[in-house]
Amino acid sequence: MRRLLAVSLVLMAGLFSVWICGAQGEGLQDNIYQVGKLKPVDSRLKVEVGQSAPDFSLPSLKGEEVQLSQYRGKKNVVLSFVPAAWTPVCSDQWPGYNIARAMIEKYDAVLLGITVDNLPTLYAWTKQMGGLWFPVLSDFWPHGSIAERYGILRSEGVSERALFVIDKQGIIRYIDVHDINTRPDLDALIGALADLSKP
Amino acid sequence: MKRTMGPRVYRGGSMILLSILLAGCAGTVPQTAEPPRMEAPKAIESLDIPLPGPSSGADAAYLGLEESTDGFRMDQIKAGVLVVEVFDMYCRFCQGMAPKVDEVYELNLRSGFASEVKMIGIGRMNTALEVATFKEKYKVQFPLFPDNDLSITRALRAQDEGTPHFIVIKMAPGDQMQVVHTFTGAFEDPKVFYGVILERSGLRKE
Repeated sequence: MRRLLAVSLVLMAGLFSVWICGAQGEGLQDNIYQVGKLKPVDSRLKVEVGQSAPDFSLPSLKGEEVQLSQYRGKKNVVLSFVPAAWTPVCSDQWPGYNIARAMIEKYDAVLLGITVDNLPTLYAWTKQMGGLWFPVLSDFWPHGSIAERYGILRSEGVSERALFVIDKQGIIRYIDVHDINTRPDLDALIGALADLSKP
Repeated sequence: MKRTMGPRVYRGGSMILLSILLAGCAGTVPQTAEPPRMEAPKAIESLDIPLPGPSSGADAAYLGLEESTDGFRMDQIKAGVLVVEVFDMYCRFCQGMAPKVDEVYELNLRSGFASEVKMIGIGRMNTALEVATFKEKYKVQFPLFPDNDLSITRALRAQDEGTPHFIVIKMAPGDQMQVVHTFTGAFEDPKVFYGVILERSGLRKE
């Protein structure tokens, strides 16, 4: 009887522990691969402010192809390239954008997140972020071809940490190829979006 | 035989219980930059820490400051106990904890210690806009301050801590002030966490 009671207690405690711990979810930060300090910028930009943004079509996590030109005449576009899934800085930059949605949409803009990772990797990574409101696109194959076209593909095969603001006419209005080791603050991006409405 | 069997089963059960508890948690750690942990409070040298002016008259009034102040020192806050949350707008875990932290604020308002215990948040490596975004998104009711250059965080000796990080300070003139509790990570129950604040600061007996 005691044995039965003990075994029952153990099983109940086990289930309870899984419930308690499971309820808290897994820790994104605990799965981050530490890349160390990298060369701040390791590419040569191939586009500039004032020119038409090169069009592209990339697969998104939702299973659809997203084409840059689909927003022409309809929405301003922010392209947020981050170097790689499961790495520092990238793993908190996008969760930050998660709570800046209203600010970005205030300027009639959409945000497109892009990395050179494949879709399964992006799925797992963004799921552990708790999900993202904006489309996440994979520039995996041909590897980094869009990053290369914009001139932000680094020699190690990942993209720079870069932001592009493209207006409704498809013209690049802002570029920030940021130090890969640091997070761009929100102010510059929001400022660039605000500038779109200035004559 | 039966007398020894019982305890042995229980001891064995205890070991299995412990193993299951640990195994259950091993793969599913809390969503914090670091697991929640109790820690020995780190002493802070001084509360002569410059802060920017509060973002609203309501925040200034809450802290007992002149509405028009452009900047002030942390030791000017009119409180017996100051609870500081060091957070980061980009930290998903800080985002997830925001409603619970605000619940602590609500509990304090209703507790009878509202004028004694005050709360502030320090946005580590956050700009004013980022802090305002966080405040707006989560309807944070207590004052938040940006700390883009880490000067406040460093003065609080919290630059190496995960976020959110909580510091409970018993306010007193000069070097008499005392850090009575620090905590990094998640708390499940705001009531329990608020109880710890009151107990550690001596407002309620343990």
